[in-house]
Amino acid sequence: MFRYCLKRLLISIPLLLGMALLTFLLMQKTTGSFYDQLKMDPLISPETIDRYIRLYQLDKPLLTQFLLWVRNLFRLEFGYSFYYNVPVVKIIAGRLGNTFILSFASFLLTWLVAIPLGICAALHRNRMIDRVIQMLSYVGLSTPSFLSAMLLLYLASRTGLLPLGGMHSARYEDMTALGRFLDLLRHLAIPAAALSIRSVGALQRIMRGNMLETLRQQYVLTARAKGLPESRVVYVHALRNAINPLITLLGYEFSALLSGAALVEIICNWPGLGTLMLTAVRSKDIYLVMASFMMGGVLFLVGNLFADILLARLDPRIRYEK
Amino acid sequence: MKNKTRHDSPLCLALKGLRQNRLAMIACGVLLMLYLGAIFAGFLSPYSYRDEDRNFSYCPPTPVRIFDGQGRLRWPFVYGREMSFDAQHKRIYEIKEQERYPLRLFVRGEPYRILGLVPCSRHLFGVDSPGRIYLWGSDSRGRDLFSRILYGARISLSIGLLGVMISFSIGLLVGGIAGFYGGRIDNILMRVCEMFMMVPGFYLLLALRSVVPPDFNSVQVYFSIVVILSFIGWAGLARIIRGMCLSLRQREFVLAARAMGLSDLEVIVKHILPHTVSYSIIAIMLSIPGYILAESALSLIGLGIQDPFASWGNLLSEAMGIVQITFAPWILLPGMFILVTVMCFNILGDALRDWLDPTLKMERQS
Amino acid sequence: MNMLLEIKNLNVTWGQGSRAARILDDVSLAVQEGEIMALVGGSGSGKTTTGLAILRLMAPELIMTAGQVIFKGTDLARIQESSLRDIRGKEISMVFQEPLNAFNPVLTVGVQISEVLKVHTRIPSRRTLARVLELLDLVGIPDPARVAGEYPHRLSGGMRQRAMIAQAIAAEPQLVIADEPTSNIDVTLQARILELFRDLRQKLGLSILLITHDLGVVGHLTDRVAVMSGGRIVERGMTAQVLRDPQHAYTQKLLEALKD
Repeated sequence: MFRYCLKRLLISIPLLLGMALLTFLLMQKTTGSFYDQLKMDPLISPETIDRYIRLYQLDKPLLTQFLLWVRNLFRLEFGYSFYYNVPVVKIIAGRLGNTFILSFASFLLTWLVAIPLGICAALHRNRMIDRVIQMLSYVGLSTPSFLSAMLLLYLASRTGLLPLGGMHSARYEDMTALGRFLDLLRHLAIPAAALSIRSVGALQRIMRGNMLETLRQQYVLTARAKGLPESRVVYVHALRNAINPLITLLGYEFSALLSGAALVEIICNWPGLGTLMLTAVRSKDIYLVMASFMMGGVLFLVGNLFADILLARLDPRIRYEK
Repeated sequence: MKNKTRHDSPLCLALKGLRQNRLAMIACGVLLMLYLGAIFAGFLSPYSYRDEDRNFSYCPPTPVRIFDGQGRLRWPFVYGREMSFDAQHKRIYEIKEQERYPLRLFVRGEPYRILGLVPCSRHLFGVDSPGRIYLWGSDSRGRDLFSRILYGARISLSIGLLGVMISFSIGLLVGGIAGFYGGRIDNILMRVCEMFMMVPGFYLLLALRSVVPPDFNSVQVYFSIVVILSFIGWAGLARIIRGMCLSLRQREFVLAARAMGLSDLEVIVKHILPHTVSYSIIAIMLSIPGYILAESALSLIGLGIQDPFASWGNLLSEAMGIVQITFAPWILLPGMFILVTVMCFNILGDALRDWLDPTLKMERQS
Repeated sequence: MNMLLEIKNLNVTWGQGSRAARILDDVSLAVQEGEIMALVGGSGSGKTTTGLAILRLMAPELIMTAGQVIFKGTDLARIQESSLRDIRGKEISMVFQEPLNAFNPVLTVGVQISEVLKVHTRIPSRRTLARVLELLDLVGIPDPARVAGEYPHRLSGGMRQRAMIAQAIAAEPQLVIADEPTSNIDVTLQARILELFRDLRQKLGLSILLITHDLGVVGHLTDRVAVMSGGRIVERGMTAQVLRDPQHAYTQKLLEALKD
């Protein structure tokens, strides 16, 4: 198991390096004009500019610059945000947390809704409820997350049930711990739901397909021939096998969530990595842009690794193969 | 080796199978209508996309009526409207029944060019000024949403096609080479692909967009968006192609072609790639929605197609403010168009795939 | 000897209306207590369907249109599903052809066998493992403790088949339906499995319905045989008799093939 993890990590390193290279090259395209822009900005002191020129050795050959940049990455020295006037690392950490909360909430919501729906649809195949679920799923997975967000916000504004964006209410500071938690949930509801609608549609279909496939397997017949109660046949024998392939999707889903989350964050005014990146791009805050970009890649890798480990734990065939 | 006695071309077979699936036929029809609407936007829309009238800002849809105030049957017309503000400073439109503007067909209006070539100034329908016909309401500047949606279709629908064509070409080349040679080359190329697929798409989109010089004009912006979109999307297609080539290269007809002395490139292009056609079409059809959505997302946050040009994405950007959504819900209509388009492509792609190989249905899920 | 299972005039169809196909055509069969009965036929003869029909485990597309399956006085074809579940695994159990597919890949062999004990017997949980080990030992598995904790794909074909048999006898059934139990095993191991069946019949008083296409297997082991072809029983009788003097053309063909 440990060797398996190590192997996965080792494979990830060239991937990360590749991403770093891509980021670096992209940065090169803009830094030139960017620094000129900076020099003309009276608010930035010449000392700051000099400090960063020295730090990033902009006068040295490209390869050295790249290696230095990578070294700085490891030191969590991501550069300086000129828009917020603080080192990038300080802003990213907080926003990262918020994006994570949103992604996690949406992820949980997706799985808690899609899995039972998929099982239900498979068990009542081709009957009315299955058809209804299938139709809703289809619409759901074709709906872009930003549209879901807008529609939900519209409904909320009409009914006044939920807050219209943001992460905290005005009186957040005065609330008790429980109050704060509930307040967070209320603000989380719309963006998490908007993000989930698409994933639920997709995941439900996959779950249903897997269940149908699994229920046709020989070992399900054996389980029935043993006289086991139908619930055990479905939920222990069939489900355990049907769900395995879905675990591999976990990591990819996480990355997709990060991407999709950005847009929903922007629409719902949720202070996460996405809104940060947008502000950065709009204000040409280069280091912030690139740092967010790298962060996205790292999170994807982590998600993948997590999914692989989970799969190895759950499916003994894979565990022993490695 | 063509076996003329047995099959029609894959495309013929696909169309035959499609006819059996009613839903897919409907999807096909809808898409056709949308694309035709985009092509003939100039004719079908009463106003040009930049025709504004600030007196009618956020005007609700003006229904076309055939019964007037006294219940008499008349030629279709619309009532005039006047904007005012109520006590809460909310905008309201008063219907003025004394002003009737009959619907005119084949009206002479703003000049445009059919297919960019033939100049014309006839529009399918319209009303005499100062009346305005807003079938689907107007935006903040009083521009007709119906017209702008039709013009917007041009950009939103074409970017998808262009982007996917470029991605596909790149993907075809890379995937074909990787799948054909296998081994080291395959490994390296696939790592590169993985790297591209690994990056969260939206972030890459933003990052690349920030690199585009700010002084680009709208045409250049359009093409740079197409390029950016292809940059993100090629990797997925390359992997699919590579998978297919990998399984094909050991087949007899490939070995025969190589034995006959054809160069590697010839073998790839003439023998392997044609067998990937059917699955490629499916892969393409299922990727187009992604491009349309990516462009919409970019335009939505103001980094894509800029005003005054219309794309469904930037039409939606007006809906970003809560105030607008609440009091002018028709602003969300472009979103419905995006939704319908994406659904149609998905339905078509799925129908083709399920028809082509029912066992794929199971494969794709594991 | 008493009659344990009697299949009377079983008719099973696939599909409906004009496209319907008769899978089983007026099949009648009887298994006595304590005997090993063989059901022989080529592929597509309907023998597996007959076996599955006894416990109503056929695919949902197959419909029993007529007939009775009388087991100890009850018609299995007519009782409620819940009552049928009490019989499956407990009074009548099945052994399948390919144990790799028939065992659930994500559960250990021990767990799968103990399921039968938990559902059908009153053995307390702390004694379940011991009983599982006893069963594995009974079917001739040399290292029961290790095997019980293993996943099915980690065992050899022969061991898997024995484990499957252990699972089938766990609740001490009266009838075991064995569907091609030796077809996917090495020829050298086949004889051992057949011997195991004979042992179990002796030790536990089991009746066995052995479904197979291999007449060679039949000769060594079974008391009586029924031959199926095209969904019908074409010949039946005492094994020795049928093998010595086959009446039906099909049986004769099978014997010929055996001689090669």
